[in-house]
Amino acid sequence: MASLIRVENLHYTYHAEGAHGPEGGIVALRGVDVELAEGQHLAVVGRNGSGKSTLAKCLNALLIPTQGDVWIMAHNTRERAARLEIRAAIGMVFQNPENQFVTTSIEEEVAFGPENLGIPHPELRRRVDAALERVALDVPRDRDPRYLSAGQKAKLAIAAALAMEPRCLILDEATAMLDPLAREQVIETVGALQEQGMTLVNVTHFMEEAALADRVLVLAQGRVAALDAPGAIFAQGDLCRDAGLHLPMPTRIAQGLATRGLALPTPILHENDLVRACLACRERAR
Amino acid sequence: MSEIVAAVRELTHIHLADTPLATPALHGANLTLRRGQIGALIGPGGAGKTTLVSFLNGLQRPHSYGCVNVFGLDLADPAVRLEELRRRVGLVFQHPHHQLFERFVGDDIAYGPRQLGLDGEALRARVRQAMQAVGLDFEAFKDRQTFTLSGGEMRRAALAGVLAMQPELLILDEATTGLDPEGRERVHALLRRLRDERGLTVLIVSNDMSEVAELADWVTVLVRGRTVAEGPPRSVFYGNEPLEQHGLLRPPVVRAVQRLRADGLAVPGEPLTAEEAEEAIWRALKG
Repeated sequence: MASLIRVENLHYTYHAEGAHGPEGGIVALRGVDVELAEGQHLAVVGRNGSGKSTLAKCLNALLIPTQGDVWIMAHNTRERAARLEIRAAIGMVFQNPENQFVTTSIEEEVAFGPENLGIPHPELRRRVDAALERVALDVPRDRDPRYLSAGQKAKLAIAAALAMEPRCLILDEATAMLDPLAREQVIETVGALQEQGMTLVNVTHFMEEAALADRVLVLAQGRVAALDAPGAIFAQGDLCRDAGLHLPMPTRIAQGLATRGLALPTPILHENDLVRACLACRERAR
Repeated sequence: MSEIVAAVRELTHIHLADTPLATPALHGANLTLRRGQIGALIGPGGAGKTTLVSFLNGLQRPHSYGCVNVFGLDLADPAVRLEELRRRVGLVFQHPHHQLFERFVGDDIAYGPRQLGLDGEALRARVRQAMQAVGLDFEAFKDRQTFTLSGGEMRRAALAGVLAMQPELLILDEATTGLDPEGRERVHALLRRLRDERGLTVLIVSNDMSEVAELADWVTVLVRGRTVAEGPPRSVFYGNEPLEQHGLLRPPVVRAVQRLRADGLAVPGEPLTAEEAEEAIWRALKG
């Protein structure tokens, strides 16, 4: 399958105000390679300052590589002419959603992107309705986004991205501000989107979320420390320790039980896995 | 039981009162914080958590119904001076970039203690100590421009700026959100240490139920501006209050234990951490 996103030897350096040239910048990425096929779900994890958000911003051409290339479909993000198409295809939801709000009502906010693309009115209405329904934002639609709670703002930002009908959604710690139920709803929403063929990149500190991905990209000091299935990542104690990762709660409990001599299947990543494994253990004991 | 440091009783607050946009934010909010306790305030999005904590350092003052008393000061009394209160109550905001305003990280953290009259080596030591506490290397970060920090680094810098004031009551409004797991652990260890060694009182506002279960001594549940439950985390999270109906979830450990019990595995006790759950499940399977 053709890859939707291809990142080759990506370097990115932030330069201090006024400074130019290679010296004196903050190096965020030092040679990242990753490829993502349509419909795949990639989680990006790593310490604060490891380059996760920088990588995310390189994927929709908000940042242009200092060195190396990012290809979205057939386009290099360096091609100025392709940037509109790239940004329409790669939707982005940031850490602080209110930074991306530009209007004074929920409805206008969701309509803003597609309206600027010249989408005709009946289609615009359909997209706004569909996007708001998908995120289950239970607030009057004429409400000013500034008066929403943090969780509601995150949902609105996702709805606004969805209204562009992107092929890939990048969530940059988009669930960090959500209350647990809202977070679960968003994870469900995102899961449903993936089932419909949406490609996902989820930048997160929640290992339970990373465990839902097809593959986990572990960043350490701007380099790829590992890129593998979640089960394989969380089985490597040294890697997790070195990259500052926690294990998902069920994995932690299962590894503890395994150390005590309990024979449990691997990998155990989700609550369901743990419950099933424990009940199977009890059956065997009977 | 130690003395009560902050008490909120039946507090009512209306956003934009007396305008067409008036929205009730708090309606019967109660909160009690005792000296040397780590309290947690939880609730679904929009419950009024941030509004409630903004009363505790006088950013908002009670006008109509209810009472807010912090360090013995009745905040409804217009004669109460807020300078002293704000010196004793440190508040770390939800969004660290609202709090950072100096060009360089070191200056930003030094701002508060400088206002207290510290300078020279004493100020330097205070800043170094605060940065060390949050895991920002003094030499590496003091001359970094604040805008070059990553999201997690900004949070640490904002927290260091408040710690440098050495408050007696420290309020963290989702201050560990966006920190990496190590950073969160470091903040947790720091809060426990300050509580145990200096008797610091802490209030965290958090959406991370695992964090609340592992860290808090006392939990207050706010739903639509009203306090619906308060108590130690074991009694709140294993209690009968229908948290799910309020749009809240119990911590993942508690949910896993409750599911195992529902499926007939007699997991003993009320485990709150992964380690406690491991022990309890082991006993249930082997016992």
